[in-house]
Amino acid sequence: MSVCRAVLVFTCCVFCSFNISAYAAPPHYVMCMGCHSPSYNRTGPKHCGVFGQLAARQEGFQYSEALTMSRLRWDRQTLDKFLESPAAIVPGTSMTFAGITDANVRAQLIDYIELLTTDHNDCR
Amino acid sequence: MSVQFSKPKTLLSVDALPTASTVTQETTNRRSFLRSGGQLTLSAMAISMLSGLNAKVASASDKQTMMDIQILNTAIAAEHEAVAAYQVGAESGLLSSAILNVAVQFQGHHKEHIDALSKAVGALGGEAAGPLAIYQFSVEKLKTETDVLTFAASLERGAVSAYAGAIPLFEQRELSKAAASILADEAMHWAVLRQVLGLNPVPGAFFS
Repeated sequence: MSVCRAVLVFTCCVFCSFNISAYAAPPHYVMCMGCHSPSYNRTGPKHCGVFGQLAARQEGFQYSEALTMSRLRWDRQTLDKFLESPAAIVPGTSMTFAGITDANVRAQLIDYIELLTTDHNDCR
Repeated sequence: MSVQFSKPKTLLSVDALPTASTVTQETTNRRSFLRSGGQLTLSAMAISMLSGLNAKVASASDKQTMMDIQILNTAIAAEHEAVAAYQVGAESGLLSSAILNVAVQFQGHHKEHIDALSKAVGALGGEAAGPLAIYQFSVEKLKTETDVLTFAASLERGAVSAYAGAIPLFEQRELSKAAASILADEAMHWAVLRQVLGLNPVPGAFFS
């Protein structure tokens, strides 16, 4: 019985810690927070609901003409290229940020943005 | 929840940073001296920045100059947001008078940043971004002084990253220098806020 309980506790701990790491904003998200929030528009648009959508399509935010005309769709590959060098991918973008050179950091940020759907805690 | 925000009023004059009863007059004087020095540095920076840009006005149609204007305007937009955020904090009724004085001082810095950056945009032949009519802050989450300070600290930390990310993009070195000066100010705000929150004010050697 005690073994079963130990297994149960262990499983629960692994599951719970997996959930926390999977859903919480990664530490590097602070780099985005100069201009962005998950849940509301700031100097930059909110991130909730962005993943998989066409660029510059969220209501209530005034995008640059360059991004509006870009016809990009925010899938993993496009986000990765854009975060590496926004101005190189969309010349004239108002995201005037040099970019993130570390591919691992970009991947962590994209993981988080992908999870930011309307039922995510950070989107409420 | 969104907050209707109008042009901020001047709340209070900033006479002094909060001091514990044990702080000596000498320390207070040193703080005053440092504060005056900081103001002089910022003014000198702004003047230097503008004088360095005058020669570039004729080339305002250059692609890179337009990029510089775009970078500056993104920074101005963020600074306007910071002014609005500090206004929300100041009007929340959650800040003690000592903390309120510091918040108003920091808000004043952000206003100075807007002035300097806007002059730079004008010198480049552009039009400076104005404040938004509405800023959407999650004010319902601000229930204590700690909440307000944490919110302000997160904005200041973000500003450090925003300037760090923008500095390499400027064509003109004078603009990079000016932005670095502002970054240093934002970093000091962040450190002070963390100190007040009981956190390590400088939790690392590098920040991006």
